[in-house]
Amino acid sequence: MNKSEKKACEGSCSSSCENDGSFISKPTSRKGAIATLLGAALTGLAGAKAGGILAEEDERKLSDIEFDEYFKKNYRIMSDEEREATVRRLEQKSKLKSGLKINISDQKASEGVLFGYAFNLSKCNGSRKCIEACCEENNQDKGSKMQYIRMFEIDKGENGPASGTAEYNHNALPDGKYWMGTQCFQCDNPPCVKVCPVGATWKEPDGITVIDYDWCVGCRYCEAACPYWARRFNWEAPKISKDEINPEQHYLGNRVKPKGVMEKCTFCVQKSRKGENPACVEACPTGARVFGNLLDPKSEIRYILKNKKVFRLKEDLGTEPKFWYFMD
Amino acid sequence: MNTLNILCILLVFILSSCGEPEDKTEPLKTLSGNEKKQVLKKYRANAVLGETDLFYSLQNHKKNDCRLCHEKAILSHDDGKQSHWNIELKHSQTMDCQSCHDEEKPQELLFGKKRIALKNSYQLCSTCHFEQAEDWKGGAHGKRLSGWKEPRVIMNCVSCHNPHDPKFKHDSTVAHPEIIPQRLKHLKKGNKSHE
Repeated sequence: MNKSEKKACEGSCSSSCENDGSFISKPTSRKGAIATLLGAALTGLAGAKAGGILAEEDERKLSDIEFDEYFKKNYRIMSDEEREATVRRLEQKSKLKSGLKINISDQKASEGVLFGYAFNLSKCNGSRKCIEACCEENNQDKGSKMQYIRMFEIDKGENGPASGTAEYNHNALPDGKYWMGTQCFQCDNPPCVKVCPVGATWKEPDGITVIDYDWCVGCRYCEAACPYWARRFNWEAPKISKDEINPEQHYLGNRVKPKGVMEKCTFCVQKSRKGENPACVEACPTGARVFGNLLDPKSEIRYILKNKKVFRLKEDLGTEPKFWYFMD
Repeated sequence: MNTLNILCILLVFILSSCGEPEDKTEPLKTLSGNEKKQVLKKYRANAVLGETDLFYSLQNHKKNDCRLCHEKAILSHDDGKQSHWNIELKHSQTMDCQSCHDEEKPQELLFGKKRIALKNSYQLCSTCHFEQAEDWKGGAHGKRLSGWKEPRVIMNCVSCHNPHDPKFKHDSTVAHPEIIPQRLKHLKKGNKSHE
């Protein structure tokens, strides 16, 4: 719906409601009329919900935002202006609802960048600092303790996370163990993207598989298709207090996700597109995590691929994950 | 080697060797991008090795400057007390203080017969640990402080490893994050629609 139509709806609603209690009396197009009806219904709902907490003007603004958000397109086919508009709407919505000023980015992938990740099995000491940092960064639901990273403690000589456990609890380092972290591997041939019935998930040009949280219908096909158990489903409305929210967000990254959608690791798209390292890499105390541009021959990740023995999980599936494990 | 051509910037936290570190320095990870840049700018040292720029940071610089104590050479102390009496060397069985430190000029290190500054200690480390040094220069060893883009800022050897006791210390493990099996929770509530 374009701006003029929207204006018309608003106008017809507010003026005609007050005057004669009917908002179909004005001549509008069919589409306009439906939108008017829906708009009025949504306004009513929002008004009933907020009941006196918000000022009347804020209420109206909020319902306008919710209305426009409801009719927006898939992020992939939005024009730059539409992207900008939805980002601003979401920012304003947060401000109106909770008074929290957030900064949502819609930064695109840079050219000549393909992100890759390497994990040093010899160095990781299983301290789970990465998980902690990830949860601080990515605004996951604190109620269900959602995490994107799983850290497995495995006996030396055993092969792969299936023979280990993620539920270890000790502060001293035991002998004869090694640790293996898993997360979304940002496959180059992602099976999760193929199964999505609504096109809510796709691979970006810089290699990150992202989700349009506002387009996802929550069918969980992708969760079933991922051979690495990397995707998570939001069972409940996120419980996250205002001071825990990271205000630096990306539309496709660490927004506070609504109930009933999929989410997963995005290599901290809000950070990595700015040239920073993902939160897990920054937090790792041992330097076991390495992140970089696979297309830059001078990058750290390329040094590792060239000079170290590397492997990937379930390579025979042909998913081409961009996440390598290596040893000293 | 190609990797050496990277504009390599080293941020060096020199370990406190004189006295207890009392001041609470902010860990770099909590600094924002701009603050980090300022810190890097502030502590830029003009040392260059080959094509590698060396940066070093001492947030408690004054305190840790060896010259505060070492105006004279170690051996010429009058009172006969040994400096650094509390340092226990747990490095190699064959090493002693003079393996690395210059007796005459304690603020410098001995690299063969050449004297090098403390901030360039990685040169000394790499004489024995050459494999690790290669990996460190390339990016497979050690921790990066900057983002994945240039300029590259990495930790120096002594930022993580105490040269007198270099085995890496495990500080703590974050407790096992309790994962609530959501499906069970829904079943308990009597809501079986999601099964």
